[in-house]
Amino acid sequence: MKLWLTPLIQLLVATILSYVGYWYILALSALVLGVVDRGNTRSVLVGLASAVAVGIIIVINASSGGIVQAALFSRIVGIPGGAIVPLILTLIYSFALGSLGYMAGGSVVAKKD
Amino acid sequence: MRQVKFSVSVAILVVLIILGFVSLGPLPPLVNLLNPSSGLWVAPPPYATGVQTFVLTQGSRHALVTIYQEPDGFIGIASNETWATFFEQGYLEAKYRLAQMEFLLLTAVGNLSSVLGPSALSSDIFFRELGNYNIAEEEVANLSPTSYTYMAVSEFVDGINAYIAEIKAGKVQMPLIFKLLGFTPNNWTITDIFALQQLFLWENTAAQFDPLYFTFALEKMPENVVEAFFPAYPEGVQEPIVPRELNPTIYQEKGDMANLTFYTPTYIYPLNAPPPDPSQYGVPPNLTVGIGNCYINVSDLVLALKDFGSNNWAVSSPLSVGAILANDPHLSTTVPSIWMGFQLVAPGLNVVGVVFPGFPGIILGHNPYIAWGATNGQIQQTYFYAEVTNSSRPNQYFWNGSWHNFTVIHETIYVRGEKPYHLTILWAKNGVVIQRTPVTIAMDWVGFIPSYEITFFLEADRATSVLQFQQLLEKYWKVADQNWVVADYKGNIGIFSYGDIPVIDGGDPRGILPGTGQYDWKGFVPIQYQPYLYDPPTGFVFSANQVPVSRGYPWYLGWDFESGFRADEIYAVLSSLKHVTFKDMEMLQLDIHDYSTNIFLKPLLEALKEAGYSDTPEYRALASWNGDMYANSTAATIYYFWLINYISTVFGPWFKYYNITPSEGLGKVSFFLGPDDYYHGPLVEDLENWTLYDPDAPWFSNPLTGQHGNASTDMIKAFVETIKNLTSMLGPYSNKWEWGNVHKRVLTSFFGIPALNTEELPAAGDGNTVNAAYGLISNFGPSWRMIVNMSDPLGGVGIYPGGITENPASPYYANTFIPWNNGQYYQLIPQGAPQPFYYLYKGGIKP
Repeated sequence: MKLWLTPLIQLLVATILSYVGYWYILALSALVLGVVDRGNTRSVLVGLASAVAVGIIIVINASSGGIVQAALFSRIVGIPGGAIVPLILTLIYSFALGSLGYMAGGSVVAKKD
Repeated sequence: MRQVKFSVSVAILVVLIILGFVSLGPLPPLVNLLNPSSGLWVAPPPYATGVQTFVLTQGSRHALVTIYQEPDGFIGIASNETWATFFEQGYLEAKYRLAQMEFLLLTAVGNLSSVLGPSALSSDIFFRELGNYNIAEEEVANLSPTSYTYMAVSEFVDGINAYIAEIKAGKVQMPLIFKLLGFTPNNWTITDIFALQQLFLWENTAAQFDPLYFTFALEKMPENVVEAFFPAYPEGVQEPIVPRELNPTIYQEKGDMANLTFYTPTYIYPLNAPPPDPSQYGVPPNLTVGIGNCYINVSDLVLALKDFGSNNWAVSSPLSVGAILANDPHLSTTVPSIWMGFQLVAPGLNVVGVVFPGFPGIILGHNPYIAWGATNGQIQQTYFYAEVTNSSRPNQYFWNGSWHNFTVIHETIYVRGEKPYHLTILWAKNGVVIQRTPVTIAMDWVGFIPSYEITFFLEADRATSVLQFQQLLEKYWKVADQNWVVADYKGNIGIFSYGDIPVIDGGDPRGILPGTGQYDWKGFVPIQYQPYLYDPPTGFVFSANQVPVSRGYPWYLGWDFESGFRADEIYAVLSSLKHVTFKDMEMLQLDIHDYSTNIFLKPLLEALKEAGYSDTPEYRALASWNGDMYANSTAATIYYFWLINYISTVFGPWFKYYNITPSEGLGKVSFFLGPDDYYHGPLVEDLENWTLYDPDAPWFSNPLTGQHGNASTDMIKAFVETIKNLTSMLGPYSNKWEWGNVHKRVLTSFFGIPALNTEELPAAGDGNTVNAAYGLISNFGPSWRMIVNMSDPLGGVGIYPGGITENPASPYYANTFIPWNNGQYYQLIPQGAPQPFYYLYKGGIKP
């Protein structure tokens, strides 16, 4: 597969999963892509695609007050910086799920030559 | 190598996923909280102003509905079908206040622990003992399914559930607080609404646990001291609600007062045993759940419903053209507000006003024919009985000459994060057992008898005259006795302090009574002898939680009334006016003159002058002051703290001398120098009396030191102490001493979350002013202001502090706070409202 295709597929799938409320399953889609790719080292790109997918949904919801609500959450629990900390946490978690899922999938089978 | 990579990546992935699915402290799992499509990144539906018209379909029923969402905290609902109006009210209350409603309901039915954990358990135990849900079940069982109440409540509940269904279907988002707690709302039932009614009635029942505390005054202080400090009829300057001369008929019966004692205990509580502790029964103070600033404060949840003080009055001929009514109930000023504003229009109905979230209809407001308002009547509706028990007869008590089994009820309280709590509740003939050791104490409460105050609200919304309103009160208003002021479009006015007022044959009802049956309730004060006025010749009626009747009223009503300064001010203003205008009513409602200064300021200045303080800047500030609690007044600050110190200087040593301890109520209740109402109870009235008429009373002397004193010496002591404290707090006398610098108003979070409070605004007024602002950082005061001239009800105005929505991210969360603090009002039916909202006001309009 071409370098950009796997991340693109992950971006699309993760966006759909995030939109329908099952964002954590993006780890599974990354794992499947890892298996299909047979261990190609694109885990960073897949992780980034996962984070971008989640970010897209967050941006879509921003207009209905999502960012303000996240900032409010920070205020309630006493975290400084408004929505920044929850945002970074969400994106890092998505990135980790995507890249680790891909890495695990790629390790199942022998590396492609 | 591949295997290692696989193992490591899978292991980390699994750890991450597990971490994502477990709760972190009080927070829900991260995968839920951070979910980009349902977690904290998605907000509940925003509140938008404007008009919407649509056809509402429920099964085979269709109705035309108009919703008018206003910017001032009000929503208009008009429909050609009554069911649709109540359905929409339920839907919209849930849409904008679901978290508030759910927490009130969880509190009412004793289920808070299931959401908040073990720290809410004592609250749940108490409300289970109070039997809110069981009584509500009885109320619903006795309600005819064809009644108007049943229809309104069931449609209202359907509306709530329709919104909850949208949440469950993922069509709309839950409030943030639910997401933080991982809570999902369940469907509501009609019984839930009546359980909320029970909570509201309990919180508005005056006195509550006072007899438990007062027992220690009765036991520890000699009879003459109790009589001097806590007279059965208040000794201050009094303008009662229903003075004898205006309604002598209610004074003519024999009553029960002559049979009662007021200065000696009827039951002797063992003083070597731990005292009863009401804070264990009710909502414990400072009960918090969570980490850091993320917590729910349970005590705040319920206190929001509590009415500590309020004003209402109505004027009519010969003082005004048409009947004008004003009301401002004093409750916690929270965000979201405890009120929601609605105008409800349906065939035969057009009512506007405010309602507690979770209730259908309007609680306080006006329709085209009448306007009404309420203040707490301060009537005692709880009695406490020490049951006779014997260890050889477990689960039995001695009553009316023989042993009886307690009625035993077993309940289970589910506690988040812990094992379920199994609760055994005992009922005696004279109440529910709230303490078992060292003495078994039962509490009887009028609210244990099923009643239909909700029906009263729903019927009052459609009432057309003062007399019809009175009939509804007689029929439906039993618990949480209120002083209801009513005005109608024909110019009639009235005030009715109605409710079930217990009558006993003997003993001292101010303390704990023996539970042997001899002191049980024999009935209630007959309705025709309860305090009321209808079209009095004075042309006005009024109340401000003061004593309802003149001295000599034959029935016992209670004894711990408001000190009467707000009532005195209202009376002084109304009785001085020859022609009352709408503007006069606004000015009176916003009046910040502290009437206690009319009593204390002159003797204080005289004492200070004699003692050589007249050259001090503090004296000069007081001497040039008129008693108005303006935010820029330094004298207001000096006087406020001085009065508190004066009361403490006089009474503090006596309570210490008689060994009244904090666990027995010292510093907790007004009659023992309570924290927030130092000068709203009987003690300040004693001081009024002694300062004016008996300045050499022995009570000005210090029993601990033996030092002889009089009113002047104690006033000076209090002044010196005040100046010392203020100098230490604010530096030498300067404009830093201005009242607004130390006295603020704030709307505190209904959920007790400080991060969701509003800013603090410098504020005028104090706890004695008509425009009340109790305490220094005041979150208690006029929770709703309304003025209506029934000769032009469309011009009626009102305002409540806060906003329509509980969503803190919304601009309509606290948008009426500053206008309210500035004394602004909004027209309740705005000019230019859609046509249906003028139904019954103008001809040819259909709902």
